[in-house]
Amino acid sequence: MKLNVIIPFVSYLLIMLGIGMYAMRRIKTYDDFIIGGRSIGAWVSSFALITSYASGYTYTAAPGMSYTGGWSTMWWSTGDAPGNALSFGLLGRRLRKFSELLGAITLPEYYEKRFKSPGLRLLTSIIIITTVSLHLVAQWQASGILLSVTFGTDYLVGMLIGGAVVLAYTIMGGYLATVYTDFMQGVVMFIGTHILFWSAISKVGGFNALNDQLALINPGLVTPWGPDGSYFGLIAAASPIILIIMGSFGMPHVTVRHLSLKNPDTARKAMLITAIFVALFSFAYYMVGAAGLILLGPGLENPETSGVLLWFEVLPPVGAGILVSAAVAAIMSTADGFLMLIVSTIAHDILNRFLLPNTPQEKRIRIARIITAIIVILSLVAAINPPAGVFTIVMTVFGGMALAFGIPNIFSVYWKRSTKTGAIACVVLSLTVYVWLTAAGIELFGMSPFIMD
Amino acid sequence: MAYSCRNRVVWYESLHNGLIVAILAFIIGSLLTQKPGPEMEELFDIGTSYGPLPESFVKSSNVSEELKAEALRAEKLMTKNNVLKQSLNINALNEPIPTN
Repeated sequence: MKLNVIIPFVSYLLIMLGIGMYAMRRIKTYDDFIIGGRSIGAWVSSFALITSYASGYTYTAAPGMSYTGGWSTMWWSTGDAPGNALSFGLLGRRLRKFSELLGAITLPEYYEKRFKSPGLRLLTSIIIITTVSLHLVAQWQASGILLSVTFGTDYLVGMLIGGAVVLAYTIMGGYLATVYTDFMQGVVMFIGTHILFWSAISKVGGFNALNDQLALINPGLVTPWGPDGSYFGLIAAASPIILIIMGSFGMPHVTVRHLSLKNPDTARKAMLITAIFVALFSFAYYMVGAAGLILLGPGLENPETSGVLLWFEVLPPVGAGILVSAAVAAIMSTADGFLMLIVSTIAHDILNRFLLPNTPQEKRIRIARIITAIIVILSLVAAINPPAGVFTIVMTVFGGMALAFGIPNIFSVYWKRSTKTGAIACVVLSLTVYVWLTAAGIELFGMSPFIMD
Repeated sequence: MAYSCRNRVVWYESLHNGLIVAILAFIIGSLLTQKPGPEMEELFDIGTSYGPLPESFVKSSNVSEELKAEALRAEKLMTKNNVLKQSLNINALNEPIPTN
């Protein structure tokens, strides 16, 4: 059984390394390494955005939500498609054009040139490096947990496998390797998730049987308002949609995909592709947990394991192998996006801008590769004994990035009157309020639309 | 669960409050300071329009052939639309006015 699971997984890892070697041949300039030479087409950009957005969360927290919340989880899925698609449609085209006119290849560089503020570039660079590093640590942690649960390996070994493969293809092919592998990973994730979802629905007996059995457990599971009515009302229901849209406008590893688009018009095609695939994809990865509630039974100690447990419940070993690859793909595609973002920020926005401004192009690529290796090693060491759980880190960082970058991104391309004072005030004040309220546990208005027990 | 119920509620609300603060801070901060210069205004107009790129930007090494080609396409389309509009107006003027 193990060999049937291992073979598809190892094949997947080898394909990723092959893509890294292919991308390495195409790296000619420093811009190629950092931003893919602004040559990425609609399909690859679209899948790179989707997979960067969908992390280990896709196979853990998302099914966990429908395991406890039933159909009400669709409020979150409803936010995914417009959130990601509008990121291309409303932000992508303009951000791509502005960044090229300004000659910016990273987000902090864009902020400096758009708002004429080197200080803002330094501030946003520091925020990116600190918050995204935390997120990277969480991805290695997820890799360690997933592979140790699936193959029975040591947590450390699982973590090292994920880290080593991402390091190998990123160091070889830079940004190009990350987007090409993201495309492949997106295909694997899409197919794997649908195999699991439709196998689970078929085993339950179809959607009618699913609804009947969910209603027997709790009638609230088949309503849009959730088992305890916590999504009742327009504001509560719309909140997840607003948050997801803001997140996709703000997270720098997602919005950097706009800068690398082949041309501004590519954003329109990418928007359409993203809308269709995310709608089909997120519906499946959220609702698989509801099928898990029927097939695994209520009372799982950790509902977030429902997705993983379902693999072995409904799929043959080869199918489970594909799902392991899909889940690792989700982790790797997010990790490589984070890694490339940290590397470009340190290499381009700190070293080349402030410390080593006259470095020749060849040397810049070499420095970027060395930084890539250092970041992976340091983040893997941090992941051996991480400070908190995966979900805590991911959710906290998600919020911080959405606030710090989402509003400046949108206003910078839609409001002529935007100034550096507005951007700096937005970044500093919103993060201060967010971190302070979260850390102090202060609830000002008592909003609680997605309580999970 | 990895993230407790209470933590999620606090996180969720902090995010909403942070979002409101972010929007207000950006708008108030921008309005309280001097308007961006004409150079930035020109960049904004070019960045948000579909029209041709000004000569200064076309010559700039920052701008790729792709963007120049897109600007050229937009310019041709605008010219075509203007010609079409003019011909429609002329045709309308030449139409005999119905008397009954």
